[in-house]
Amino acid sequence: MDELINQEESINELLARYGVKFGVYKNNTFHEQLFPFDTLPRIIPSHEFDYLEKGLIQRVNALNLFLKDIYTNYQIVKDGVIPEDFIFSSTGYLSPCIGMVPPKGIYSHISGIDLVQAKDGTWYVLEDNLRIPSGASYPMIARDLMRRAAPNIFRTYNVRDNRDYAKMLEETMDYVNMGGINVILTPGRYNSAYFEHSYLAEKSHATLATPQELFVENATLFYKNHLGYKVKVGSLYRRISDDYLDPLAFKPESLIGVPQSMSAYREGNVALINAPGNGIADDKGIYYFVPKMIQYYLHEEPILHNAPTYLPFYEEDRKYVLDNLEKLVVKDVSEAGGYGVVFGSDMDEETLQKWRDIISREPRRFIAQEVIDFIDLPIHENDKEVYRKADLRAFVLSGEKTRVWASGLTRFSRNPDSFVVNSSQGGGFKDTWVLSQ
Amino acid sequence: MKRLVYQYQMDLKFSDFVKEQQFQLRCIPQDNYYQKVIETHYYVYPLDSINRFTDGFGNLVLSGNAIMRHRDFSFQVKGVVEVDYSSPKPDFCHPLYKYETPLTRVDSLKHPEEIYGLSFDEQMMKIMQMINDHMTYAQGTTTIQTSAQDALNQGTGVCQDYAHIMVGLCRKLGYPARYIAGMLYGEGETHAWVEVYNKDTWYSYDPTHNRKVDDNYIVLAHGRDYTDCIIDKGMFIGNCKQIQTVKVSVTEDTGR
Repeated sequence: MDELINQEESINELLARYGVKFGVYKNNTFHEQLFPFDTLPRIIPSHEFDYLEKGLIQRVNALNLFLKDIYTNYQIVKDGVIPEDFIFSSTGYLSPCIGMVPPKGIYSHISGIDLVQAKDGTWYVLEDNLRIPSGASYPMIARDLMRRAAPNIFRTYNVRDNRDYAKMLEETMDYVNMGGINVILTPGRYNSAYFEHSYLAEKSHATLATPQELFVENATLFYKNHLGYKVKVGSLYRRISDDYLDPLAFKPESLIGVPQSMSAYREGNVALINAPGNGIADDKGIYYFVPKMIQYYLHEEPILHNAPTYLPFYEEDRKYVLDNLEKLVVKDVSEAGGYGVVFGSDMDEETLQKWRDIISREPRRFIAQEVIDFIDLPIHENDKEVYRKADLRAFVLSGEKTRVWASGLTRFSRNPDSFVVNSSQGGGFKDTWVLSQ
Repeated sequence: MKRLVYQYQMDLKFSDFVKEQQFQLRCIPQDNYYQKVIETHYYVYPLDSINRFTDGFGNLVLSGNAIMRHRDFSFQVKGVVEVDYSSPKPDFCHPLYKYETPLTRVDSLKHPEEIYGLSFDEQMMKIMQMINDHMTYAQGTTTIQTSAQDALNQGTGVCQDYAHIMVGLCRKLGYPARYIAGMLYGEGETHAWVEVYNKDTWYSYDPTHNRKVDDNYIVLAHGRDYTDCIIDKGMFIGNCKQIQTVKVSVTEDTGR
């Protein structure tokens, strides 16, 4: 492993040179920051990954069935498994998506499931990201550089090859393609994940396009190439959020969308990856119900655990939350990216009371969870080994089959006291080694 | 039952050339439990491409574009519709219509006891009466962004505001309700009213005129509030002013 540690500086330099950066908007200005890479890999034993893989496939399959259900017959609501309020009063439920089923019935083609491992070894799902989860490119390029920096290591250790992500992505786009080329739509250079958009497009043989290069005519999406010819688009992996996708269907002020793209989609002429409207399924309020969905749609017992979660919406849970707030973590269901997360343990009595009032007033807006004491991973910092909190984003791709990428994005907090590992909050990342035996 | 002949005409005049205009029009009547479409004709100019799709609420949408430079844009829809409100027919209701939206948010009734013990229809008539006692119809006092509560607070508004208030109040009482954009017998502009769901049927009320909807009304679009039913939605490239004129006429077909 020393071989890897010694390369740390040069690998980070290369990452910087390749533009592996993370952009953040703060106070209305755009800052690009490097996403620090720690060369010590996280190692997941083979049998442990096999278990995760089964659980993740099960979970994502159930989530896809859930999305199809609630945009058509909402049988799960009629059967009383999920209260109506959690679906139809949620801002994630998008009316332009009602009554249509996307190509091949797939809603979440690329799912980013965030997991943590507790000190006793149990894995917990913290969050499902079914909109446009980012981050696959970072471990891809980091592994590539590691292989070059220390080729011997990958001969000595039995690490599963993870160079197939781009191929999996390409196969997913091809599988749902409605005739035409595969396109990755980026809002442009000043997007926080621009590096990833361009990298994935190159590796998956898709065309990288900005909104100005796409247009809809006769409910068909076209790409205008550099010669001015128009080419039909069959699959659009759009890296812009639903709100901005089509100014005629969503936010009218959007300048980064493609007007009429929703009509092309509703007419079945293009696959949108991921499908619009998925926000309803990765809502933190819906998270609570995912194990129930697995039982409901698949008639199976959930393989992966949710973190113990309470919905203040239910009176019994609310009472528990108000009584035990000081040891819980409270999350605003409508926020993402590590925002809107507060820990009871950080609050003084006055703040606790303030939060009890807010939760009592707006119970539907929050979930509360037990704080999982998750494992610390060794991080190499200033020639010392220190231990920091880390999570794992697993990437699950749904095409002809649902598959889990034998890798993932391990993010760690650089602040020793913090549990929040999101890259937008200044964390770093590691390579994730899944052993083959 | 009435056989109505309608014509909807919209003209847009730009003060300078525009291009790449995109439009979505929700102005084509469709069959429903109260109306049957006999014939429809539409005409859009200028036009480069057009197609029809159905939105999430089931409204028929004409979507298309006019790419080349132009200073005028117009469309016309005309046709014949048979309307019959005499025998309500059951239909399905999406749960989305139970929930308030920013535009339909209202505080509860000041004196809800006034509607206790009334039948559904009496409750609706009472709510319309309350709205009319409180509101004065006045054009130009509200905008398309005015919420039901804001209109109530100022006490003035147009049909859109009356409809939002009634939709909001009905939802507060537990009745799913929806906003209707459509046309009314006579000459003028488009109109807005509401449908309220009771048991398994949508019932139609026109709070602006404080009456039940009858065979003089043609439905164009329905949704949670105004924003779901915008008759003419569009965008273009150009930096100029635009003047829109809308002419609606609905007459009874007696010729055949």
